[in-house]
Amino acid sequence: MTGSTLLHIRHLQKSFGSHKVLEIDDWEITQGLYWIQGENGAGKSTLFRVLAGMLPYTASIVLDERYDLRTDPVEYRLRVSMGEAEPQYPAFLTPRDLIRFVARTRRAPQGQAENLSERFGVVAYENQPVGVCSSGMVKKLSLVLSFLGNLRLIILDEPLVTIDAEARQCLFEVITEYRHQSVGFLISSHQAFDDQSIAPTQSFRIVNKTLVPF
Amino acid sequence: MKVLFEATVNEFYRQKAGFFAALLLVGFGVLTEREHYGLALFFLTGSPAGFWIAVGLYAVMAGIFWNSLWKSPPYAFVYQARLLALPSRIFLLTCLSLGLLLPVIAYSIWITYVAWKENFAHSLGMIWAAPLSMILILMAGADWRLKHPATYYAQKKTRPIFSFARPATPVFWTLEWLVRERGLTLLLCKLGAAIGTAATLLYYGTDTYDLRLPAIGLSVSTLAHIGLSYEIFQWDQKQWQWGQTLPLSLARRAFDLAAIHFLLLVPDFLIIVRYGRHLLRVGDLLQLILLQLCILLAYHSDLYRTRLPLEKTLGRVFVGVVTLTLMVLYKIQLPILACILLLPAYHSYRKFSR
Repeated sequence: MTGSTLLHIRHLQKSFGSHKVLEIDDWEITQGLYWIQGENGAGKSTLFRVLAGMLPYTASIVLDERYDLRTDPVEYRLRVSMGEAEPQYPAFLTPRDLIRFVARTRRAPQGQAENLSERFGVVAYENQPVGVCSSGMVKKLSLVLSFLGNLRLIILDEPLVTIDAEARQCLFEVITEYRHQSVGFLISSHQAFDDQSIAPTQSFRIVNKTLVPF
Repeated sequence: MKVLFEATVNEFYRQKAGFFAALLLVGFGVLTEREHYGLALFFLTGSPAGFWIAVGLYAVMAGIFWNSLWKSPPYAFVYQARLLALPSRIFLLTCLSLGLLLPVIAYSIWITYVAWKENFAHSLGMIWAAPLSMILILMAGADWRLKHPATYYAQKKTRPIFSFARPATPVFWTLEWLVRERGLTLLLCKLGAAIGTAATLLYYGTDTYDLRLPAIGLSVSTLAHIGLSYEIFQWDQKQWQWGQTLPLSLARRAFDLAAIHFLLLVPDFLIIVRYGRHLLRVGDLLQLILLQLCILLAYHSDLYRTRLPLEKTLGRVFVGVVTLTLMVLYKIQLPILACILLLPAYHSYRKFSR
């Protein structure tokens, strides 16, 4: 593996009660796009949620050899974002409320939120409460939110699910642009990427609770 | 049947845990046994309209919950119950209705006990007619729902309730969610706390007591808020879980939580000022307010550490109240008590909230 390390995980253990889901001893990646695969229930979403800081964990998770999720939680989160497979937001909030708040907390560059909302078509329903949006609309909102900020790593859990062909094309374009800006990606998808512009740097599969290249 | 019972009745009590906690605190914390007895006699000897209204309101709440739950996408499987033979379906719906109306039935049994003791058995017909008719109404509603499956999920239209743009802050969002989604719990908790606060200060004014009396009384009335504090925890862990990926500092998150709890306590503070301004100095008022806030924050941060369901936190609350009362009685200064509560609370939140 060449280049400086983007993400380094050591001694990651994640259990739900007595059921151990993940046990990754040492795993590191450089800047690139990584496709994480695994059968249903293998632990992909759990891994992503741990890396995004949503779940408690036992591990050392370091970004850019500098920002530890445990000791630098704010600096780490400023640089890592996540779009969930089935995003859920409070039903009474509007996409506009969420985008405004997330853009502010992630210190998004001027105009980034408007640009992404426009491209993903979120602007058309930005004042509707999330509760009346379809799953595809919520998914597009989650994609906009996950691209906000000056990021180093974007984690996308099943990003292609429920979105239409137009949004899918837009997603590929935005991923390509962000890759040119040295942003890394961790993506899980049961659907293969048919766009060569976002061909994965490497693929990993979760087998026996750990990540193995294939 | 077990799966439907667990998926419907258990879910009802789980989602309404805050409401029932507040109900228990008002019922057993504010009202005495004699008052309960008197209330039962009132229902038996006077017009049963009050009892019917209370039972009706509870049944409406349960019915709305039941209907909404079965219309939600994860509950599409319940429509298989339509295939059951009529006697089995009636038995199933009876069990579910009984389960949802359990508190009402328990209260009716209490009234029956009072009637038996006071020889008012002839009034029991009108009392028992209320829960029995509500069971029938709930059963009929559920059977109609089974025969008219919600094949699509009619999303609730949430209209803006403000004429201004919603502030982009989780403090405001949390309070708005409490008003929108947990309005009944909020109302009941505030009612219980208001009664407790006013009663404490009214009693305080009847003789010459030191600050320990309102400190203990207001500490107990603060407990009426634990249902709300638990709901805020649920908001943070479920409704707004994705918010944990955002780069907000620990201090900012802790400040937001303190601000939310402080705002919840504002009506109580106003009552303290209203009834206590002639009895307490400004410094005393501030000490009491600080103690109330710290009690709630200590409870809230403990939720992150233990992650227990509401009912299992009540034992810890009881131990905490007894300990706190003893410390107040031993004349430990209230600001010191507040610090004793706050420092471990902050440590617990820092360690376990992420």
